[in-house]
Amino acid sequence: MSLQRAFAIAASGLTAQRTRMESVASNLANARTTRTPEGGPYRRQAPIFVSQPLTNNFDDMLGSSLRAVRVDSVATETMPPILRYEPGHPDADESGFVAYPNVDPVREMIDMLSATRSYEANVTVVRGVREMSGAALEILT
Amino acid sequence: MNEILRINPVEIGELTSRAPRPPSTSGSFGEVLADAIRSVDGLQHESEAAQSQWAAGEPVDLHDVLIKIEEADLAFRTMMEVRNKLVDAYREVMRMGSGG
Amino acid sequence: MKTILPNDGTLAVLRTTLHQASVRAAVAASNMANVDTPGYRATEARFPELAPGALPGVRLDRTDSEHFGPSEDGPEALITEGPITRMRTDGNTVDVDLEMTRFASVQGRYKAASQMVRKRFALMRYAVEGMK
Repeated sequence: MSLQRAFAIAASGLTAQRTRMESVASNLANARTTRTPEGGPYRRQAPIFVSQPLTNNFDDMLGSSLRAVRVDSVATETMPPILRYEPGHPDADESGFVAYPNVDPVREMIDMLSATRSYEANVTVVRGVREMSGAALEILT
Repeated sequence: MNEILRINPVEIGELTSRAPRPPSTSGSFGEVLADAIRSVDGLQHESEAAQSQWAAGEPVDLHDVLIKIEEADLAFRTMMEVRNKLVDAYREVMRMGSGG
Repeated sequence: MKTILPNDGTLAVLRTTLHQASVRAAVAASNMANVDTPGYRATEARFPELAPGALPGVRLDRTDSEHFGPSEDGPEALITEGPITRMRTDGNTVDVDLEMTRFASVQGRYKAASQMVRKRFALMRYAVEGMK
């Protein structure tokens, strides 16, 4: 059962890291979005990861000790927007400032690399567990 | 035939060492064989139970299921070999009897 | 009641190895899945040492249904916080390179032990049936 558990945990990691990648993609795509349905400029999205026991059944000592990862929510950052003086811009305020999203492309790229690396780590686990199951199957003669 | 029944089951006695019980020196071939068959049956049941549990997604390790399958298979083959040897021995004795 | 099969200490050791490797793989998976979870502490699996001379995996009579193993897999794992080899500002202590190395190592052990179990059964079958 431990191997199936490793699969389940790695799957939770893959889902979490993919959510993170989607946030990065959203942040980069909207780095200059000044208009949103909620009003005001786009605000940076960041997923909140929490670890949770694989099972809440405390009779299952191993299952309740192992931790999967879950995306609790995708938080909208409250950092103040960056104001640029562009009086000609249709979204400029009365003093001529336009509020741009507080998205730093360099930070997003670093986040993307980190998410890719973590995603790969979980892929390695999935591959490894698959190989281990294959080895177990060879016990049958 | 009574002579055969009184022979001590030396080889099978060694095979029974897995179970924590006093060595039975008085067991007849019949008893030993019945024990062996019960043991094979028990292992088959264990193997089947493990397979059902695994198929139902219960917390069992894959290697444990596969090892139980192999154990049941090996026990069955062992029993068949013992049976074959017994049948051979019986035929041999019968042949000696009729051949004079 | 396995009276027809010999009491195979080697097989018992291999079963324990398989079990412990799969638990360690799950623990490494857990740590790698939580590599970006703030405040997550990396864990490790510990297995109680067996009494000297005791064979792992030998079935003991369970005198009380509330008792946990020792099962055929050997002693139960204890999952504890491991030593901290690196700590990030968010309080996460997972060292992903260490976990990768550990995972590769237990994967190798698991595969090797499976092969040994396979060979063990082949040998026992040969002992029973001879060359056929």
